[in-house]
Amino acid sequence: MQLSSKQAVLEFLRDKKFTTVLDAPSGAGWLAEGLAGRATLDGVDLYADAKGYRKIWQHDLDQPLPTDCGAYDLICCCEGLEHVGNPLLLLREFHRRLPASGLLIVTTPNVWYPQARLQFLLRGFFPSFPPLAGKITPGTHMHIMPWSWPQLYLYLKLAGFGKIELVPEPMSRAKHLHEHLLAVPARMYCRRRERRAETEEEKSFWRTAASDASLLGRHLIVAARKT
Amino acid sequence: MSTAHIYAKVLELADGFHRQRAFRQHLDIGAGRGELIAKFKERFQTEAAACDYTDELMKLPGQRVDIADLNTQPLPYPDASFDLVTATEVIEHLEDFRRVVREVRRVLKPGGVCILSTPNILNLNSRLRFLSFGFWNLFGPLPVKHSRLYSTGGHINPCSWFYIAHALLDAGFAEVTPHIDKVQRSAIPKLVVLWPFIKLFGARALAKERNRFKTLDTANEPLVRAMNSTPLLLGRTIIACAVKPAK
Repeated sequence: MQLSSKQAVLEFLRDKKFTTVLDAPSGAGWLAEGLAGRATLDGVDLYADAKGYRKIWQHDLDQPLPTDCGAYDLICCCEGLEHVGNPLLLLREFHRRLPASGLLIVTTPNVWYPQARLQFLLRGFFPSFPPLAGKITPGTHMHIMPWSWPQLYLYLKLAGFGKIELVPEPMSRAKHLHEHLLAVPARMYCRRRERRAETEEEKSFWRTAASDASLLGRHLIVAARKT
Repeated sequence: MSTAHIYAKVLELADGFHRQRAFRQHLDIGAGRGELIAKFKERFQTEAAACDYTDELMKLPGQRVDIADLNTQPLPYPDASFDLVTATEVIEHLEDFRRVVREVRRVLKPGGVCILSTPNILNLNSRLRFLSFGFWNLFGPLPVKHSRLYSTGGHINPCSWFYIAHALLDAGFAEVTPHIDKVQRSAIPKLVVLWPFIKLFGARALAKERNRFKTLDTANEPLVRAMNSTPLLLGRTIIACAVKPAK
C-alpha cells in the first residue's frame, strides 16, 4: 500500500471515535503503528506475523471470519479486496461484525484512472494485476478482482452498507495532460447521469463517480457505514 | 441471456468432445427455459439435469429443475455425477464464480467436460466503452437502481478470459481453451485502426512481464497471449471449455 493512501486513511480517521478495530488483512502492520494508543487492534491475515496487535488470526479471507473474532467499532480492509475470490462474503462478514453505524474503510487499486483504462484497451490487463498463474505463494500479489468506484459501491450496497463515500487521496493525482484528456468523456458521462438522476442518492453516486478521486486516483479509499 | 449463437457454438464444441468420448449425463446450470437441454437431448440423446434459482422458467415438459442459490449453496448432486456440465451466461451473475467452478469440477466424472459462457469484456467495443465511460458492454452502471440480480441488470461479475482460465486451472481443470460465439462486425473497423497499437503495446508489455517482472511461465503465457488474440478482440461472448483430468 502506498504511503499517500496510508496518510489519507489516518487523516480520515483522525476525528473519528472508535475503541476496537479489526485490520483485515493486517499485512505488515502499518495500521497498528498508525493508530498506536488510540484503540485496541486485532488483525486477520494469511500470514500472521505483524506486531502491535492484541491478536492476529492466520486466516484466509475467502472464508468467513474466525468464529472467535469479536465485534468492532471500525474495520479496515486495506489492499485486501482485490485478492479475494468472494468479496461479497468478506463484506457481509464485516457488516456482521460492526455495530449499527459502525465504520468500514476499504482501500484498493483503482482501475478507472486513465492509464489503467488505456492499458486495458491495449493489453486486456490492468496495472498491478500481473498475469500470475498457478497457486498463490507467500509474497506474491495475486490481484484477481479489479475495482472502480461504481463496482465497489455496488458490492457495499449488496452487503448492506450505506453512507458510502470516496475519500480523496491528494497525493494520487494524474501526472500527465493526456490522462486529464482521457478522463473527459467519462467525466461528461457521469455528470450527464448526475443531471438526470432522480434521487439524491443517485445524484451523489454520479457526482462522486465524476470526481478526480474516482477518475484520476490510483487508489480508492472508500468509507461506508453499517445501516 | 443466452442466444442462438451461443447455443450453436456450445453444441459445436460439445460435438468435438462427444466424438472422443460419448457423454450421457448432462447438467445445465442456469437452465432457464430448457432450450440447451432440449438441443443436447436431440443431438446427443443425453439424460439431463437442470439446475436454476427457480423452476418457474422451465418450458420442457417433464423436466425437473433442481433449485439452488449458487451464491450460498453447493450444487445439489453427488460427486462425479455428470459427463458434461454447461453454464451459459451464468457466471456474470454470481458472487463467487470460483467456488461454483470448483463445484462443477466436483460433480463431473473424471474426463468430463465443462463449458461456460459469459459476455466477452475483451472485445474492442467493450474495451473502448470502458476507456470512454468506465463500463463494459452488458455491465452497465447498476448500483443505485438495480433490483433483479438474474436479469441483464444483474451482471455483477465482469470476468475476462485470463481470470476465467485461472479459476478453471486453479480448480484442477486441464485443456482450458477459449472460444467465441460470433464476431461482432462493428468491432472489425476498430481492430483495423487499433491493430498496430495493440500489437506493439502488447508485445512490449509481454516482454516486460517476461523479462522484468518474471510473471510469465509456460503455463500462463498462452493465456496471456490469448487476451489480445483476434477472436477475443472481436468475439461477442466468450465460451470456455475445460476437461476434468481422468486421474
